[in-house]
Amino acid sequence: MNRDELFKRTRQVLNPQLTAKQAVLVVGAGSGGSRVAEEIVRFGTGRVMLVDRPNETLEEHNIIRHALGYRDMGRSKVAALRDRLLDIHPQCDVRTHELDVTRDEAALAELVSRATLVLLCTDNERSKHALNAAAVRAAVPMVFAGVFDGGCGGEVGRVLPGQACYACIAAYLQRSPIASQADESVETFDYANPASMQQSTAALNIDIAQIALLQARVALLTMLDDPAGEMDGNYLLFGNRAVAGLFPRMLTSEIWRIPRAPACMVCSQGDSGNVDAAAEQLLAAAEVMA
Amino acid sequence: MSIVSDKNRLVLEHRAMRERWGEAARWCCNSGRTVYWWEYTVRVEGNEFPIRVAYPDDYPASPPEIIFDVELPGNTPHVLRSGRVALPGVRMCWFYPGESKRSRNVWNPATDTAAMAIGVAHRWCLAFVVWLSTGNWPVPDAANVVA
Repeated sequence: MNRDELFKRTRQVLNPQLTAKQAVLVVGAGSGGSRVAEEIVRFGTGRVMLVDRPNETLEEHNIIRHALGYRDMGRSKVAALRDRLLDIHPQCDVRTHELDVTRDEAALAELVSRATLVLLCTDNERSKHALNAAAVRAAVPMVFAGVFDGGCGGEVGRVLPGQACYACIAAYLQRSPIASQADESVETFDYANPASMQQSTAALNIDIAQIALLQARVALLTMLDDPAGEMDGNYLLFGNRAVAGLFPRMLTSEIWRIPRAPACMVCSQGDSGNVDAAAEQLLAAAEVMA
Repeated sequence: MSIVSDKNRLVLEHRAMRERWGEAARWCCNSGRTVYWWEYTVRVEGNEFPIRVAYPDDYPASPPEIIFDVELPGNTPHVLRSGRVALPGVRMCWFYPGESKRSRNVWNPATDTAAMAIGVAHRWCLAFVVWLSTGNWPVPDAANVVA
């Protein structure tokens, strides 16, 4: 492998020496995460840490919306994706970790502490909040993304230390027209029988890939400290298709600057006193029940 | 994160609970001190519903669970038969229990606490009492219980 030759066509736009120092933690190796990871190594990123849940293997139904294909069917997603990334950039240090980020707090904290950037590519709220808390605590920047129901559009958000965290942004968005779109489908769920709930409307690969590329773009800006202030906000809303009340026409985009939630219990500094001692007292004061 | 490891959160949770419900909520744990919860009795129209508001291991990424410490009719709607917290009992369905949606009706750790859950429990129990006497649940789904 000849590194000079590999980056010959991009070096004038992006010096790979700048990104070689980056250690990027990619959480989620699904349809979005696999695309984002591919782009990240094409930037010349020095280290990529891939995380997915234990025993997540590539199934046939994944393939049509995944960076991996039939030759990797049945393999661990992170292991197969590692091979794919090394096939693009053999000098990249790619590590794989099978981890449930909602259950192993210590292991997650350790991984986040070794990262210069976290890319959140999961599709459920629990893991997003768990990773958000870990990134806030470690003061590591995080870029998250999500594809809206049916792939009509998506979002990319950036969480920088000291600014609005994912929970702040989610709280803000719950009062926005975006939540109204989601609520339309929530009303059809049967809360009395959650096991029978309908699944979200599927998105096409092109819908997911579009948002994944935007996430990679925001990740790159963040790696480079966004010198020109190009993003000018922390939340990108992108419409793949026209949606009444949300996206007036296809390929509409907006960038919002979402403020911190007042007294956010995740990213606010909290009490200035001795919180540890107070917490220990509270734990000790709990009444032990049989 | 958990209610045990997130010290700042633990202090804020206690403050919110005491400010909203005073000493009516009892702070409890199991003998191994691995599970923590609040005990509270909801009183609605002469009925008493003892509940436990319990913290799951990944709190506050996941919402607290509202667990009934009393038996409910087997056909009670808007309940979950199991949960993540290692305590027995039927769970009140007070949030959309799926994971992939962010809508108005999802838990948000920036602003929500177990104290809020007790407020929701009052509304749920009021709906339950109406259902017992009329057979109709007065709100269509959990989204409107949370409001």
